[in-house]
Amino acid sequence: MSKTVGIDLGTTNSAIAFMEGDRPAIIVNAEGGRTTPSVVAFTSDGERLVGQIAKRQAVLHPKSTIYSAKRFIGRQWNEVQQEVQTVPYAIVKGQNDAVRIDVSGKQLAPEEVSAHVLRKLVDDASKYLGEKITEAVITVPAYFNDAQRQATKDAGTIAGLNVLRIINEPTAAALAYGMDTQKSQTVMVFDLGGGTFDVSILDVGEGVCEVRSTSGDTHLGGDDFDKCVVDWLADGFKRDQGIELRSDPQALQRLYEASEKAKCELSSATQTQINLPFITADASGPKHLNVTLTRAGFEAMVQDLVDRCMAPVKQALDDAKLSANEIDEVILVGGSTRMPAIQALVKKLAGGKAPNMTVNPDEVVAMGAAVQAGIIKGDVTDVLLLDVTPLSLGVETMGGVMTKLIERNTTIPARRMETFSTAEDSQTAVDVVVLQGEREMAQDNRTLGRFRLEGIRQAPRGMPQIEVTFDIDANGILNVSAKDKDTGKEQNITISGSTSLEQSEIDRMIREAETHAADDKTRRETIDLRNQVDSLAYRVERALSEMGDSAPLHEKARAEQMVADARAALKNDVTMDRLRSLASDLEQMVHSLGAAEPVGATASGGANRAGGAPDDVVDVEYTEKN
Amino acid sequence: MRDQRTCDDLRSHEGETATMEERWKRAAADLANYRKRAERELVQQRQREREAVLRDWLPVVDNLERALMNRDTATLESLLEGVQAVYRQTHQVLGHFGVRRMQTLDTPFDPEQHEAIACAPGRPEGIILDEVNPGYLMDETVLRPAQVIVAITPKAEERRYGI
Repeated sequence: MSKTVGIDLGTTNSAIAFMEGDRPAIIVNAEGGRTTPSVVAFTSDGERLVGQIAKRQAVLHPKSTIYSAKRFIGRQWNEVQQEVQTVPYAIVKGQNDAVRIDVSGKQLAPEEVSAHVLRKLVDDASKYLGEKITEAVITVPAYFNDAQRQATKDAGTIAGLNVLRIINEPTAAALAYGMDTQKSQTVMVFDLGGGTFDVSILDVGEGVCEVRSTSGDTHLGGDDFDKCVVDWLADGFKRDQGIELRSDPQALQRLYEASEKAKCELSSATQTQINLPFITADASGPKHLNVTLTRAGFEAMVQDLVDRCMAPVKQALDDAKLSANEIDEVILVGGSTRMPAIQALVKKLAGGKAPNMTVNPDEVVAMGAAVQAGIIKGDVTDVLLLDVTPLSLGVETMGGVMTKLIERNTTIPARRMETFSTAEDSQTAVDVVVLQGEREMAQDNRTLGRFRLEGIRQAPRGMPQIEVTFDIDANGILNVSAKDKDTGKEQNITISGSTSLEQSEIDRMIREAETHAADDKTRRETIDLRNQVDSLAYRVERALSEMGDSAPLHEKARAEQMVADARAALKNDVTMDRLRSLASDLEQMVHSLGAAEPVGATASGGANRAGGAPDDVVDVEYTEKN
Repeated sequence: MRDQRTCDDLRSHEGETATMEERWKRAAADLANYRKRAERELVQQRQREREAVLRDWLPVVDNLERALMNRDTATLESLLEGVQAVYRQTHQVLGHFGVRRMQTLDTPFDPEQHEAIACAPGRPEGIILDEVNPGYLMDETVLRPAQVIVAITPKAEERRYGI
């Protein structure tokens, strides 16, 4: 089955997404962009350029570079008189009062221009996905009338697409947040793009989505905010240096780029440096522009623009016969909604509700369109719903720490196996304590169950290999088994309900793990280090006893002293530094004695994790066990 | 007799279906977990990649700092010489990553590689007259287009457009 895509055909930028498994993903274009400028250019040699490349040559061919075609699509000649004034290309009256774009005497319908944008998006997406795309869901503003919707659909048809459905942009945004599957609620979608502002009130939930009202400002967007900063910079420079930067195209270009960058930076930082060395020159030499812009300063200069967002929001609420308090959710769409001033305004106008913005506001509409495409094609409803483990699962290992086998948020069913060993010489049984939680210490986590594996053949510590397997099935039933590889003896336990914890309980456990993270980490490190010292001391001791009289006398005495020191240190609470120096001394001794690496680290009580990766275990099996 | 066989048949298929479903779910979960791991690794990989690139740039920063430190004793000439050396160093670093500067002057304008920020009268039509900001290629891909001023021949505008 071929992939179905969702397309946000925007006034300034467009985006395309598809369903990857159970969630939407944006498809990058051939130039590597996640959005594509909705710009089409016709060159003198009959070539057609779309997107970023078309934009790059716009100043050379203003009359044959078409942008904002969306402002004209599906409209009548007499409806667009004002819009005609705002674009540099020629708009003419076609048959039946249709709007036509005149490019070198050739008349083009706006839907043909949009079709070129769609074609580019779909072609790039086909290349990316490695299969032909023939079906799409396309979004339009909620206020589009039937003619505009039909024309958008026609654009899709011209581009060779089967348009499965035309859906509203705000509806797509709500779909991207999965609000259609939740209980009924009232949602405000606040969409401030590059050049247009739309606000919509929706009733969403239980599979239905209805637009209650819509309002906006067709000429308000991020570009206006950039221009404010450009003017502020240029005015300041003129005042200080007496030079008008706006009349120099290359200086103006740098001003625009720097202004947009500053605007974006001020969304996360409270101040930014605008640094434009060698911006211009006069008889006295080169001039540099270097100013600091604070967020407060920026917000003061764009206050008028921010205020212009207020009236449409109030209008939309009025039309929906709602008060601000009746809004359940707010969704932010469009890059300009990243500005803190806009977010604060939205929050205020929506009765204090914090807006949703976890989905990238530039991509949320295309993502939602992809979700809709998935629903239509049945991809989404048929999707296999698999649970995740809400908390990590593992066993207690030496020193009372938790060793995780299955990390939290692992999709189930899942199965993990790890090899452990014994802690003491001649240990014939291991206790397997099954733990759940995020804390480092076993005692701080929930104990789900425990069992004992007996009948392990007597062997030096670290030699036996105990395979511990965790297996959770799709229903969250956990089966833990431990098997002695030597004897084949096996023991297991089945625990149900490991995933059916109250959300509040899960939250509490995760929160606790976060608050104790630093302490837990230190404790864990100390224990790991103690285990290491213990294990090294054991190896030195073993090496000495194996060598017997062949060990050089002075080495033997030194080694014995070292082991005694280590043992004494482990009985007391010594510092990490002391443990580290013991570990490194012992390590050197191990090497000089040529002691072989044992299977596992050693300590007292519980099962022991085999030293390092399972590969080590196999290694030892060949060299030592036979 | 036949019914019995059908029943047995069904029962055995039931078991098979259950096994298949179990395997299907495990495969789906494995994929989901693989994806999570791939995402985590991608973040780490990106971090390491950034570190590698930035580490290469630090010596350039060091040298610029050295240039500014000697402001009291340096002559304009020696300073300029130093800055030129640092500049050569930047191109060495760029070269290390396969980045090279585009040659634009007197070549025909190409929107794949260049961004026109203005036009000026000149001949022949469509030739780059001036480079405002250089463009860079990384191997064969455009890292940044060059910002250029392009020649137009006045009063020939009509002929330039055609579809």
